[in-house]
Amino acid sequence: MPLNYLELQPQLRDYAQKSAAAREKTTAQREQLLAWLNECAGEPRETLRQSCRAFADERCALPAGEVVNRFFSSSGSGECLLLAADGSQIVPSAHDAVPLALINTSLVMLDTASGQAPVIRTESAILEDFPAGVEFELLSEDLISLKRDVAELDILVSCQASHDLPVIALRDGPLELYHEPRQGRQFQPEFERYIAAMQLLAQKDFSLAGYIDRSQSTTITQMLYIFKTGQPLPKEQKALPDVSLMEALLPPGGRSAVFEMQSTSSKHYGETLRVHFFYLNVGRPEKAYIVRVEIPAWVAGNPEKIERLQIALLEQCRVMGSRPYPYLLHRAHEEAVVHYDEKEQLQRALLQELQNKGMDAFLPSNKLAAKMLQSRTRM
Amino acid sequence: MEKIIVGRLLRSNTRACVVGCPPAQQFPAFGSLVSIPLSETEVVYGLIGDIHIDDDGLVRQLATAPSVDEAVIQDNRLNRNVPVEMTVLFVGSKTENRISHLLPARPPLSLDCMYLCSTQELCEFTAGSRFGYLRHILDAQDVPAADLLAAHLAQAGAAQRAQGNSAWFGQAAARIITQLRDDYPRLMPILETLADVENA
Amino acid sequence: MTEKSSIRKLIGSVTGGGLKENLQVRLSVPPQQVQEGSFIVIDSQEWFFYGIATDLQLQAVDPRYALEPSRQRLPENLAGLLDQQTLYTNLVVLPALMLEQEPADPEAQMAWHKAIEAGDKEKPNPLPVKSIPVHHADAFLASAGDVAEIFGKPEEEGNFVIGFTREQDHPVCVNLDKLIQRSSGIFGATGSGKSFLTRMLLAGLIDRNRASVLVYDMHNEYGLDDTASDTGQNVRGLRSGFGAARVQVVGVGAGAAIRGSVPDFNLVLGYRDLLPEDIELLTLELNLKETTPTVLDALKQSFGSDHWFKAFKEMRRGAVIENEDGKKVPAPDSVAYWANQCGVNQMAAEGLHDKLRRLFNRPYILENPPADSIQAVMDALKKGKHIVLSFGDFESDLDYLLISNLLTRRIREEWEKITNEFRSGKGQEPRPLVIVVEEAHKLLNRDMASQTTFSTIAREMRKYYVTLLVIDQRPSQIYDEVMSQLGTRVCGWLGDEDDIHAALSGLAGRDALRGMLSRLQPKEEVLLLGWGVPMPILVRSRRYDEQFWKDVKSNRKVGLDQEQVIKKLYPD
Repeated sequence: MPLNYLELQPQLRDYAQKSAAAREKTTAQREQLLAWLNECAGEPRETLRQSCRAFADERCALPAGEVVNRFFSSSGSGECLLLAADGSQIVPSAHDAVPLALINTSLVMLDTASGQAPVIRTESAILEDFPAGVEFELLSEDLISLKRDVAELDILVSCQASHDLPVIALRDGPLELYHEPRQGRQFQPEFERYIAAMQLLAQKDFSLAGYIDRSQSTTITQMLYIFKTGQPLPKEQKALPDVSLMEALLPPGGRSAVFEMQSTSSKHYGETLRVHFFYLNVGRPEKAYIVRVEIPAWVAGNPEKIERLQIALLEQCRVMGSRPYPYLLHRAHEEAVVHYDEKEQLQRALLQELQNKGMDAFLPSNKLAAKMLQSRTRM
Repeated sequence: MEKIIVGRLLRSNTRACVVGCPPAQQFPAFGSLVSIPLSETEVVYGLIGDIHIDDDGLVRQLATAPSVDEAVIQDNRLNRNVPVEMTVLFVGSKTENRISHLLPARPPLSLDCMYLCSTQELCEFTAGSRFGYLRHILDAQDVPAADLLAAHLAQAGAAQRAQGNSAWFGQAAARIITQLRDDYPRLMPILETLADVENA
Repeated sequence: MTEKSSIRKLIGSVTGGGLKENLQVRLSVPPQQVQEGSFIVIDSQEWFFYGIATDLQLQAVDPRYALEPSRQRLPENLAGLLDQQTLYTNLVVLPALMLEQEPADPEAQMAWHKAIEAGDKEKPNPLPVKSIPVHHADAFLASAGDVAEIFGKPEEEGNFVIGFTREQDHPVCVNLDKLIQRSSGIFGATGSGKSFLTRMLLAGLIDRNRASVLVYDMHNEYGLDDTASDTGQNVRGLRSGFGAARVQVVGVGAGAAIRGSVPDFNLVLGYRDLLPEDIELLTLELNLKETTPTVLDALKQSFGSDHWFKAFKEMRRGAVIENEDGKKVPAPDSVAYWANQCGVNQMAAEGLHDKLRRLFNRPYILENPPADSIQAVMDALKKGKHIVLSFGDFESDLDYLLISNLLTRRIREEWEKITNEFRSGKGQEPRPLVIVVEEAHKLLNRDMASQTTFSTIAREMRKYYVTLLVIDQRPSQIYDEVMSQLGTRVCGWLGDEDDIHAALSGLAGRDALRGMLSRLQPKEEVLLLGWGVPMPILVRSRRYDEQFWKDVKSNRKVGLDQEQVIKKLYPD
């Protein structure tokens, strides 16, 4: 049935009205937070870090050394080997005839000064772990996502840089695996593999970075609350996202100071791998667009690497014109993404293989079958 | 000399087929004569009647950027899975070395290879003042018939001239006039297009 | 047999038409290469069709091709190709004859000839067209051989080259023997070259000498040398050309001189030569009343055929005497007296006497002429001489009508007589005679035709070896019945619609020929029509000049050097 528009109409008006009010509130909030940030900049770094560390379970930014209310521009361009990795997955569904889990990972490699087309590699793997039988053992979506994250780092690690060029390795999304701790037989080994991959990247001296396009993170806001009130913001109170604050601070192309990420999982990363981040305005003068960039400690500690990363990201975003986003990441996504018809085709092939093995009578659920009924046709 | 594959068949019917090739490849020019072997002894001939390069959201977005890096251009041409599609209008076939200007008995199949015809083949196909195949061009729907004729006549005319038959172009033009003289509104624009070939 | 098609000039192919609406030939050559009146040959499988081009029409596959010049939109070569296929000229051909072809296959050809030689098969002759050629049959401009095949070879006896085909100069012959078998006509408006044409044709007839020719030369043009009115050059007369032994000039009236020259002898009429019917023929000229025949009949009854004229002439008009009572009464030698005596209306008799006074005073009518000059003329004609009767100073219609009628009446009587004698086995075969009548409409118009001897000759005298050659500028004035009897018609330019209509009366395809007549080039071109020619044809008439006379004298037939003509036309 279609939507009940009569009922929705007043709700839409109400929604818009509330949004306008919220925006006013946000502006006021931002002004205040900016003032606090300026105030905070005058404080010694260690004082601030200690204040925050007092609340070690809070997700919070820690000043890493740079002046927190400043922005940093980059100039010039440097040749580098830019890697972008992305992955996609097929999550098994109980309704499918044969539930299938798959991870597809792609790597796009570009020598930024060569003028040559990037080199692309794709790796596809069916996840098979079904002691109870193929049609009943379903891998959880979280686990598959985790496996995909690991695979993305693995494919970056597998890259053999043939040049002497500095290497920047980009992936889409945060470097920190998950906000809340995960436990379980299957999660721990994957996490360990993830950390191992990061360590390999550190050894290879690849400048790893996670690009987060529309971050809702409130870590700096939290830091300012702790600094100003001595307490983190109560859970029930909504904090202003960091990107909103940065919109007022960063000019186009400018980045924020680098902060260290404090979270419950920080301790698992160790000194070298600890996650840092900064914000970057990839927009235009008339339209700021703030993204969050997460980097491991080995990159955060090297200003040259940070500047090179900043230049590369800005350049990549420029390619995409009016909707800035790193071109290479988009290409990695394009190469990795598994479309519905491809999934269908894969499932048919699998079904065929199963039938070849004498395994018959795999049918989709009745619910799915009903959904797939042909729509009305015309004579 | 080994023939180079210029594309592979995507879809076909009795009258035409669509062939895809990577954009980076030097694909045949509009109006070129191409051949698609069906078997050891049977070849279908066609003319490139349309060359289609699809866009997608990314290309559209890239086009809005103030400048596009060469690497990005190359990436879109070499890596992105968007083939150049060529509509090939069937104009005849060759069976046991005998050329016919009738439509092929059966169309080629998916992923059959398409080759660009050599000057020698072009002359062979268009030889002998036989212009029956021109009707396939004139009857074709959804292709710019006038320009296709012009492009083909320019190429075949040059090939024939190189082999000493400088009257070929005029003979072909005369045949087109014969076929279309009862259709003034169609014929005149075609002749004007041919005039551009002459003047070129 | 006809020449092979290869030496003809291909001009197109048949695309349509029929016997009624003529044939349509789509030209493959520029229209200027074919002209109205051209002699066209169509090669259609086993038959040749011969016809005459009567019209040329510009056509287009689509009118838009014609409306917009292609060269404005296209380069020269493409425009040429386009025009070649979309614009064309339709030649309208009036089909006239068809002739069976000999087979192309050598064996069949041999068998064909053998069959003809053995008499198993008739030798093919041109037949009046009864069918039509097939679609796309090739059409050619006739070659010299075609013209000869149809109109006769110039070198053959009896054939006289009257002119040449318009485009290619092939000689066209008229068969003189056929020409004299029936009456003929030469028509053309003033200045169309009629006199030259007549001179030439007469020269041909005299040279051929198969018939005697009597020319009523009203304007003294034919016998002696003349000066051309347009060029001022000397034009040779027939007597100058052939000499007095063959052609004699007869002058009207005793002591008559023709352009200052003395004629061979003079024609003088005696009173007794004039018969009442001769007078009746002058009804219009003398404005005679309806009572005239009655009066003339009474005169004949009173005085006899030989003396009526003298008697009537000597009667006095209005003479009276007093009678015993002192009353004035008609004198005995008066017209009135005679009328009263014979019971004729006095006024009618006196009226006729008044009107005949013009005749009574003609100097060439004598009571007792020194010789019977009419008989002399007839004798000369019978002996094979040719007579040009020059009217000298007597150029009035009255003189012309009277003398020509009278003489012709006598000739008719004489030729009927000798023919009948010949047919009854008592005499020699009469020599054919052609009487040439100028200003024919004066003698053969609707009012007079029924009475004059001329119409009788035109209708019946063929049987008696006498035919007419009628020369006129107003054929419309000539009685239809006479016109329909004219076998051969040679037409120069005619402007008047009625004249054109009359000249073409009784002929097939006259609608197609009509326009052609009005577009003939004066003094240059004539159209040959009628029974005497196998089919209508337009010819550029032969020049009547010194060369003509040289050819005639040397007996050289024009057209013998046709090989040269062919060489000139087809240098390759």
